Amino acid sequence: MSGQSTTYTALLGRLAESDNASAWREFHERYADLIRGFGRRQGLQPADCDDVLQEVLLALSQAMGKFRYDPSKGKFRSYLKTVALHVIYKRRHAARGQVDMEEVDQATRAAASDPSIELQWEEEWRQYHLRQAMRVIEGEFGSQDLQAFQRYAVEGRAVGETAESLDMSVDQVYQSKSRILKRLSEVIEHQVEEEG
Amino acid sequence: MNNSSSDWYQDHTQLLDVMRRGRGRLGGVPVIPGYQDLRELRRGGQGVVYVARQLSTRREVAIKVLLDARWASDRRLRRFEREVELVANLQHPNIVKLFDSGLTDEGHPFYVMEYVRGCGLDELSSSVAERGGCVLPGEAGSERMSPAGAPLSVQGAVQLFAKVCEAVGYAHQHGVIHRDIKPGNILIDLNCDPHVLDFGLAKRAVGGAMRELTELSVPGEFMGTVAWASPEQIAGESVDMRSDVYSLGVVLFYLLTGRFPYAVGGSLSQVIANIQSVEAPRPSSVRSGVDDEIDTIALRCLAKEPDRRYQSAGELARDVRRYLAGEPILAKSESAWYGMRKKLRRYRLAVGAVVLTLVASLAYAVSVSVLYQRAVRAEELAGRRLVDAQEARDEANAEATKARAVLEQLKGILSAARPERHGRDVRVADLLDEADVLIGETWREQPEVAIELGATIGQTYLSLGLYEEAGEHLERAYELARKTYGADDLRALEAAQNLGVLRIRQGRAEEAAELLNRCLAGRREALGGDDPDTAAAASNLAVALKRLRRFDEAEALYREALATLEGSVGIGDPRTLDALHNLGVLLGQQGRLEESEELLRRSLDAHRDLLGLDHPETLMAETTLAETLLARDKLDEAEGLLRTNLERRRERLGPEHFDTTTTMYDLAELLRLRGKLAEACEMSAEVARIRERVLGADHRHTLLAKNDWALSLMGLERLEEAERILREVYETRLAKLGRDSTDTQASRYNLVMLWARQGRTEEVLEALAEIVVDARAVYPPEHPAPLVIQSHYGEQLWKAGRVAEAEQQLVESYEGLRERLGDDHRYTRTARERLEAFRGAGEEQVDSEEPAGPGTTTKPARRP
Repeated sequence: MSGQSTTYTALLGRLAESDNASAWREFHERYADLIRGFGRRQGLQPADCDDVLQEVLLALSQAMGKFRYDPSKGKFRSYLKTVALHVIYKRRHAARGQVDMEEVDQATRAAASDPSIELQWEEEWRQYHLRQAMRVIEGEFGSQDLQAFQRYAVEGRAVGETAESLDMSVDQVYQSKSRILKRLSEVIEHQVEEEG
Repeated sequence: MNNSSSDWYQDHTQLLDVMRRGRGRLGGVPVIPGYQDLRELRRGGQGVVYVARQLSTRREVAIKVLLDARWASDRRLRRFEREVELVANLQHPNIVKLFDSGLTDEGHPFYVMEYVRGCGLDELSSSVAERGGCVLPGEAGSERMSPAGAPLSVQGAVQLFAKVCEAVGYAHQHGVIHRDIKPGNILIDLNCDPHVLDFGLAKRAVGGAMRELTELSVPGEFMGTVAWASPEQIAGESVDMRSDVYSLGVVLFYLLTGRFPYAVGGSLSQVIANIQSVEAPRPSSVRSGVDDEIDTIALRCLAKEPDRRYQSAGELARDVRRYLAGEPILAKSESAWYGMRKKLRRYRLAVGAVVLTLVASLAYAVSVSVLYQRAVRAEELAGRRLVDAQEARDEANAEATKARAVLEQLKGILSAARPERHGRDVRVADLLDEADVLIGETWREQPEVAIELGATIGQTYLSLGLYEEAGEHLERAYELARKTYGADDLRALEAAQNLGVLRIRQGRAEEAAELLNRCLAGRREALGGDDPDTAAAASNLAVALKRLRRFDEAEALYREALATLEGSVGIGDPRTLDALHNLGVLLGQQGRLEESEELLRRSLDAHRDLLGLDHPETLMAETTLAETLLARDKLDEAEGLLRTNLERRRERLGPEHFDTTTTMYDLAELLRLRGKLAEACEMSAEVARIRERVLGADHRHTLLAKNDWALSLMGLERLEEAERILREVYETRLAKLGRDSTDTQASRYNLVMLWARQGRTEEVLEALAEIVVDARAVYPPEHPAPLVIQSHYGEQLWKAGRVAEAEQQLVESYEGLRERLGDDHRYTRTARERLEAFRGAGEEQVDSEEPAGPGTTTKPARRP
């Protein structure tokens, strides 16, 4: 996978090594928007989302110090969701004055199997994969192709208008769209596979 | 639910839906073509800063995306772009370099700058309160350093501050005001050197005045900015260099003491009141070790009245340097210093008026002596208004001497406003902003001055290519002139002319014609038909009418203007040369080549005599003549002219100058006509490449060059390449210009010629039938192009066996061309050869039944 220095599992491995600053930065880069976005969907203010992000990273680093992440024990996707929910519920309880960890755990478990929350998480997860994939393909396509794709496919502008504004032929615009979509599918598929 | 959705990324519709939902949501990394690996560095009220890699250079850069900027109008966006352009010109070791700017896919403006490893001065000084002094970064080597190391000494703080002042002073010299100086906008690199960033940009982007900033919904952010602002900024007044000086004073105070000069923690209204009225204490009263001179420098910066401060960051920097060198500082002698300021203030307002009269005179080419008179008059007006009459008289002589000196100085500065000399100049744009303010004040009290100022500023904006701004001033001046002097007054007519010329440039030819017509009629009435000013009005009106395709009227006016000018100011006057040249071009465009040639020859001779062989305008007159010679098929003479012209232009203007490419373009066409296709093709390709780079891909002149390139490729039988380029040119033109443009029609015709080569007869016939009709509507009545197309159409009809129609088209076009261009012209020759082939075929092969194209063994019959 081009554009990224480490594979997903290798990154998690490196996270487990204590004080691996670059791994942490990369982890932050990858998942910051995901956690923040999810926090927003849970009704948190932007500043609170940043705090949640910090706490999630902290929780992960503590967990990673104790054990190596084992992909066979379940998807990282649900693991991260649980950690995030746990942090969020802990904050909610703390805001009300008392933190009973058992209550927090219970609330987290209930939320983890709540389909509406799962829907929100899934949406953020997709956005996350998409962002990662976009970063990869940004290095693979020319700016004209990317812009054509953005304008025509994503923004839904007319093909003629897009072609004209980018000095391309209509055929080229169609081609950009199909090539980029195809490549995005491939890259995301690869990411998902790797995720285990 | 995971199962049902696990394949979302394989279904393109779903994938796109996810994408569209994600767009615009906060937190997504923007897509900025040309840059990759964006990672967020910091996030503030105005936007997000990313570190990224620039693909073309592989270097790391910082990109600031302005999320909250509201782009109410294109005008504001253009201002932002211009501002970026200005700042990009700043080259100083302590100013963060600006590389690029644009809009993200989501429409947020961004700019790309040098990535400085280090941290913000705000992060350094945040520990000041705890430790009692600023600290410098250690050599930790991490990208964003945590504050660590020893507290900054007073000497260290002042040294750092001196560099910041020098950087801001450098920007002031180049006409750029920062408007938002605060520690967060000063980066400290690993060598502890400061780098100032965000010159004017962020502030400008959100609307200029602080008043608008208060509308931002992020109170914390707003307060973060407000604490460093000057009293006049807080009040929403116009801001100049001295506002930056104030903010620098706050920074110095903060660096030394870790505190603000007044409380900034309360409510907004309390903070504003403090900034406007609470006098700053001496820094030494807060931190020991600060000496009396530093106190003086800081308090001088923090004076509430701008006049009592240093007048620019450069002046401040010089005083700080004097302090560091152990020399006495200038700010020390308060009373003398203030007295001088007070005098200068009066003087400066007078100078403001002089500046504007001067620009006016540049625009109208009034002599220096007249200008001086005007300057004195304007000065007196200003003087009467501001100080009492007695005092004004006393100082009149001294002021006049100074004015003359300033005048000379300003002349140099203002000539920079002519973009053909220096490109758009920073200082002038800024000067104009100041002039805007001055005009606002003058408006009510001195309409005569205000009209002149309006005209002046408008003209200067016009020469900078800023039409919208120019329009505002010229409209206002015109309105006011009509009201003040009456519609028929010469001054009102001049204002009408100014506005008319602007309208021509804006492509609003109808309005232009109306205004210029009014001006011409008025001048005829007041000055008579023989006055050069009347002729100038006629000449301007002719330009507008030409745009409206009212060629006959335009021609008559040019001729009238030319006769008048030759009779009054003579052939040596630039206005006469212009009229001669323009008339020649007009006739050429109408296809009246013989007359055009004669005029252009006279024009070239006059240019050579008056300006010399190497003058840019002489070189221009040469190529114009060469183009007409080319059209008249006088290839030898045209080639000689173009080759020497190319040499001179390359030498004088450089190989990539637009004029140089014009010569190459003409020469390529000539080479193609002479059958030197390889050379022509190479030259056209080069022109296309240069223009695409310099002017952009969809610029008219880039398209012209591409079109020619394609024609050469066609000649070389490289049909696929040619078709690709022709199609691109046609599509761009159709979209940009519509069907009713000769450019669009020409490239459609070229495309059809290519199909003809490929034997796509059906498509060709269909398209040609349309083009013949369209071309007649689009080209001027005497232009040969529709006839050339018609002749080609005739040939294609014959090829398809539609003999009767073919004959009609062939005969009609041949006769039309012979009448317009004569027997010898290549267009006429081609048409004649086609007709002869057609008739010859008919005579030889009367009995043939199977129609076929020319050049094949069986030729079609002509049925009499």
